[in-house]
Amino acid sequence: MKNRVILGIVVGVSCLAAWNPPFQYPDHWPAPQYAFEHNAIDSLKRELGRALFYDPILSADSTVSCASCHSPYQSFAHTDHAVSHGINDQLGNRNAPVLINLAWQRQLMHDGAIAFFDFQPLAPITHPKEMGEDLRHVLIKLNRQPRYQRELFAIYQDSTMTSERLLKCMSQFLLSLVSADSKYDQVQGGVLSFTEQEQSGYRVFQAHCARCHTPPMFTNYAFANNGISVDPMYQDSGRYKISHQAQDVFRFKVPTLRNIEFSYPYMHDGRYATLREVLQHYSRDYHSNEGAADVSLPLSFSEKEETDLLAFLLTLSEPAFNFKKENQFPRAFFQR
Amino acid sequence: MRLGCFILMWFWGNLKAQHDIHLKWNFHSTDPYLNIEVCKFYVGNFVFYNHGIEVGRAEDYFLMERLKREELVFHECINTGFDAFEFQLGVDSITHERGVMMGDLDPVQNMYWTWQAGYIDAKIEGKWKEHPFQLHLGGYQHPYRADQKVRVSCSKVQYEYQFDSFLDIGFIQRLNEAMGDNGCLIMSPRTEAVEWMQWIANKMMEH
Ligand code: HEC
Ligand code: HEC
Repeated sequence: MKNRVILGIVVGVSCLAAWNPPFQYPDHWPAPQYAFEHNAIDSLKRELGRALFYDPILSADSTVSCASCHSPYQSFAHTDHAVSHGINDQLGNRNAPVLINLAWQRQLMHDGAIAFFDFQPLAPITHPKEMGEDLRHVLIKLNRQPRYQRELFAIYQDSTMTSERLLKCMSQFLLSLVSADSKYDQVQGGVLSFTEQEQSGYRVFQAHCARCHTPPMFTNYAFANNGISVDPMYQDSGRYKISHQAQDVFRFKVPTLRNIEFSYPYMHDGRYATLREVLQHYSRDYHSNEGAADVSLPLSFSEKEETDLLAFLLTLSEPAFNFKKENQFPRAFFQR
Repeated sequence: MRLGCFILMWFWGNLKAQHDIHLKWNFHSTDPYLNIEVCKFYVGNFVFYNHGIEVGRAEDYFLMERLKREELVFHECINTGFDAFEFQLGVDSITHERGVMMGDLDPVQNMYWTWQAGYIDAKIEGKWKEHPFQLHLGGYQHPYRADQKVRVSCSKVQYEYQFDSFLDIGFIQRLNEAMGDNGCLIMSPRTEAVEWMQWIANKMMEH
């Protein structure tokens, strides 16, 4: 695979684990959306963001970190619960999505509530059912910690944690979570080829799914109603909550299907446990949400095609991503 | 006693150093039934004109707040008088895109909606005859974009400008109409928020 280095230059030598290479993506990908000119990538800042991501100090009772809901082993999704799980064992009403290739997204969250990337961590930090904290208090707590002071000094020649430093460093870590080396990418790069079954599944995918889950990011970043029934418990109206436009009722952000194998359970409320169930929703679900849906169900594919499609979806996985040392808990930082 | 409360805003040139512009908010209530507990809002992107030519500009955003920050001084912003000017009331979407900032735009100012994302352009909270109201006015996306451009033209070239009050009797009338049984609450981007901001901007442009 040919890689293009977009935000080069690892600055300085980190006393944390070195992060190398900086930020790469394949030639067949579009350009990222994040405004890097306001937050140029720097390996030390990225490492500080990584520490913050794993530090429960960001929550009110210091029990929940970002990683509690976004596990590196599941491409930063959450698999224990259908919906997420915050301080005092409170359940939220949505499933935690994968955190990969975020630099390409214009709007975050299942309903696109967050359009300004750097501010995203404020949502879980201040949400009463997630981390239940207050930004001002988080800054006070962090400013008492020598390990943060040392790291801040190394970066800024000043050891104060500010909202801007906190949020921009966290952005750097999140932006660096790029998964671009699936079998699909290797086939596109001419390194590997699909099996016959995968090739057949790819054709089914192109015919029925690519309109919304558009390659190479496997999402068109739009909001759509994919025909799932309204969940009786949460009655989540999706994008409508943000836009208040009638056509957006029950529309959710089209999620990427990269690393989909690891990010079960599926849909905004985690209603389907397996990919098979998801495919059966698309191919056999006659009772759901008709009329309003942006896709007319059932989609016509045979059982063999369904299996082929499943084989294709598995080519979107990059298992090595889940075990990248540079994305995991930074033990050395917390031992100091 | 006249009913109503007044917020006044002045610009005046400092005669000794004409490069400075002072901007003052004067919060004063004469209405015994109106109790304003919080009144703060963003203003920014000031541009001053003299006979159609731009003579000064200050692109920063400032959070004006009753009892905390009622005066702004622009140093060396302008070296002649102005006969027109404009500014943004509320934070525009270009500023939103720039990411996290410090100072007045720091999210610790509690003027940021974390779950809807976006700055709150104005917060006005208090009680009117014991009925509570909380107006959190904001929104950066169509059709709930709440920030407003305020344009003012003066009859002559000058260094100061005094705005008509916006928290006057008209404000109380509007509030009264919007009051339900539990007071008046606006906490997220929506049509009412846009209308309030338009109304405030129009009040500032009236003279
Ligand atoms: C209690 C569980 C929980 C915690 C803790 C948590 N998240 Fe999340 N995260 C979620 C859920 C659920 C969503 C989807 C929310 C929605 O759509 O409304 C989400 C969404 C996101 C997204 C948007 C992804 C996308 O594709 O739209 C990002 C980025 C993110 N979280 C980062 C973080 C960071 C950074 C932290 C720590 C500051 C954090 N999360 C803490 C559960 C959690
Ligand atoms: C009209 C657009 C549209 C089409 C066509 C479509 N999808 Fe989806 N898909 C969505 C949306 C929107 C969601 C998210 C729904 C939610 O969060 O509740 C989704 C969710 C999924 C998920 C779960 C992802 C996750 O992270 O939870 C999978 C898997 C999936 N689709 C696969 C497919 C496949 C395979 C096809 C073709 C057979 C297909 N989709 C066709 C819009 C579409």
